Amino acid sequence: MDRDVPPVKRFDWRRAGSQARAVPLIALLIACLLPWRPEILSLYNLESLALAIALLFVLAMGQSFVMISGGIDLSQPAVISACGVAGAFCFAAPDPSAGAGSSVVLGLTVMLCTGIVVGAAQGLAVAYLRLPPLLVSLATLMVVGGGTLWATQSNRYELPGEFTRIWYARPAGVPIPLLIVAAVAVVAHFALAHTLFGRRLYAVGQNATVARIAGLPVERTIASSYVVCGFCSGLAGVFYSARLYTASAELVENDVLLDCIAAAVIGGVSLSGGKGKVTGVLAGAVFVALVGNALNLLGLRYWHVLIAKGTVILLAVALDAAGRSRRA
Amino acid sequence: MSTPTLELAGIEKRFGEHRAVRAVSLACEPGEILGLVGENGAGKSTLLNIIGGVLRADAGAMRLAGQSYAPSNAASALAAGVAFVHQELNLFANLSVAENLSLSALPTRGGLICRRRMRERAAEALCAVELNLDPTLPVASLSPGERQLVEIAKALMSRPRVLLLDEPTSSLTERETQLLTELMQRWKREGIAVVYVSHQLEHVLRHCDRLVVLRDGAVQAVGAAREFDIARLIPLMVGRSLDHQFPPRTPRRMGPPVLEARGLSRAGVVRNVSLQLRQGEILGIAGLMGAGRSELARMIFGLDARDAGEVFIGGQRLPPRSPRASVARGLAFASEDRRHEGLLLDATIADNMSLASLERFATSPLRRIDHQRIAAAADELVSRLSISCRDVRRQAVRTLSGGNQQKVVLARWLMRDAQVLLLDEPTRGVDVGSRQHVYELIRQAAARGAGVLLISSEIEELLGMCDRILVLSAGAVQAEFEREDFNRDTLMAAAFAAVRGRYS
Repeated sequence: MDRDVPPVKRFDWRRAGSQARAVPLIALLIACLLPWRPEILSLYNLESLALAIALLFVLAMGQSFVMISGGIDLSQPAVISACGVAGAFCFAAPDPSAGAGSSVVLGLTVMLCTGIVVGAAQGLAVAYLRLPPLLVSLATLMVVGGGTLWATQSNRYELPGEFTRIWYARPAGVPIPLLIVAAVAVVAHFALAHTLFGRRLYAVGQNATVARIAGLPVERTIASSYVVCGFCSGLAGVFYSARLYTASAELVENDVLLDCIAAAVIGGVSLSGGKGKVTGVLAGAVFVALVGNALNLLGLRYWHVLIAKGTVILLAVALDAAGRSRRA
Repeated sequence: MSTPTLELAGIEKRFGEHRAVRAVSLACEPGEILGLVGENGAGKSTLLNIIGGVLRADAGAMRLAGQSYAPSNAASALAAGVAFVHQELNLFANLSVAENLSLSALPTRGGLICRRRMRERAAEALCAVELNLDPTLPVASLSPGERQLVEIAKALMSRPRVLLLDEPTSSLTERETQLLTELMQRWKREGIAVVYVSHQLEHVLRHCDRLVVLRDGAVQAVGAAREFDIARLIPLMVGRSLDHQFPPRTPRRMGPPVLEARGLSRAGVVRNVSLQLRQGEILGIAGLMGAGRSELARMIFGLDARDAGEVFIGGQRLPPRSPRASVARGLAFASEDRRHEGLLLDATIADNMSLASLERFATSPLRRIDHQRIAAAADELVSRLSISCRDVRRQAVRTLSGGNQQKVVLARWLMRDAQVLLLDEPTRGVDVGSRQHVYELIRQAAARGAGVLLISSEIEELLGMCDRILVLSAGAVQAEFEREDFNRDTLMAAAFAAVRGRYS
């Protein structure tokens, strides 16, 4: 038939746009900063930067699953703290018959499961009760945050050294969180790009009606994305609480949320759903973490950091929007 | 005679390749009721939209009371004295009747809305349509007929010289239709020129002064209403000039019923529809716009809710609201709204084609998708369906032509070997060449043993393709025709028959 049409170009930079965009931004940032603060490339700084990226990436990855499905999860900060606290309670009342190792495993499991349960509850509310994601997750932020405060009575809970090793141990010089997060990245990439679940997730996010008519399990897919996000928040809860040696209701600030949504959006995850890749999210996380790191190195005050970060994120998102309207 | 209130000369309107309105000239005197009739898609609504300033004509001129008239939008048409009562209701359901009536010019005092003045005005306006109701009620609490009358009242508030009515009776009860008739006589006495579009032919014949019959966007006949009757009107309206042919019918044996629907109903939309579809059969669903054709297909598929009725596939009952279960049992549905309900526009051709059969390509324990096999299956369908495209794995369907997009939708269901195809307007927006392909595909699917439910606004298409046609009218099955009884005129007559503008 009439298939004598020109072949496709091998790689189109403009179409790759949203994912590749973070890369030049990162290069620019480093280039600008290097003459001022050469220590940005010091081994010490690179390690703390890598850990910051890992933390942010885990959260942004979870957020991205939800965003790809067409939703949003604003509850992450509260869920992180809740997971940390739930785990801390297990350590506080250890089973005397078991050794320290088993209580670490128990604590870890409880932290991750807490995230999964909260995620599942939100998923059910959004997918099956058809409540708006924005409100569901905002309400979760308040309820879970309040519940954690209530349960802890604003106390801090010290965590045992066996547990905090997760953050501080360096087998063969590599921090454990980096290994775990690398594994998460590989699994997330495989899930999104190469599995049935991934195909369904993109389809549902792009157009839920089309997906429904094609016979896809729309509700189950949407709900699953919140479960994944909850798991990621739980994992972040593990890292944050191990890093601070304590768990409390104020484990993280709420502005973590903006960081991870920004990382996702700068990484090419669409706020309207159906788009986004792991590599993009990783690049977005690197960029946002780097901005934070750079501002710290410049010795700016906390409020200056907030203002500068917010502005940079706004610019990056504006760039994304401009790119989108050009294509449309 | 005096100068006509409204005059149209050589009005043309194109939508892409489609000539929606062709060289239409007509005139409407003061105090005259001009009826505009024609099939679905004959160009009636487009013409009204041009007169009402919603659309701009590509060519031709309009005059209003002898003066050149070229509205740039609906507001300027209204300012010139042309009021338009739309087919779809344009009221804000959350606002009160009074607020809706005053929305374009809210009475204010010192910058604040003067509610008393607003209520007075509304009461006055409602009086003009003899609607006795409290203007502070929210529009949401009104019946469809009352809303329609409020809409007419709103149009009359501007004291128009020309009143455009698009299907005003479709939501009115019998009593309200009677009221409308009286109002029309009053407008006539007041010297308003009324252009009246309706499918309710008897009403049009009885109450209009003159009729204009449109077909394919062109004026087919003009004359005093008393010169027409339904038997004369219908042949004038139908018989679209089609520039494509239907593939030859191959004689085939039909198998047992694959799909059976019993007593499907939804209030105001579909009334007690039962049907059987056999293996290898192409069953057409004919009817006017709003007869419930699409709604019926959506209900069968489980996409829309239903109040009553059951659907059986191969004797097994289908759960009422689960497209997923329907697809699993071999049902396929192609929506008339391809861009919003058919395709993932930004996804690739391969992704769109494989959407309904993903499980088949993910058989490993980890449910890993086999991209190679998807691409191979998509490539095979691309050549089988003669889809012109560059690369199934990278090209977004958005970049395809309408005809090729439609083929991708069909390919999705062919990939699954669907046993029942529910096709809602499968050739809408499809170019002539691709239409041919779509027809062949439908025939092939039927020859393979699938049952096809074909919904179309084009009578010719149904006559050319179907083995049997059901005519829906006002949500109910009005008539059923076997192939040997196919006749354009009787089919049309059946479609128009039950339009009483009121559902149970």
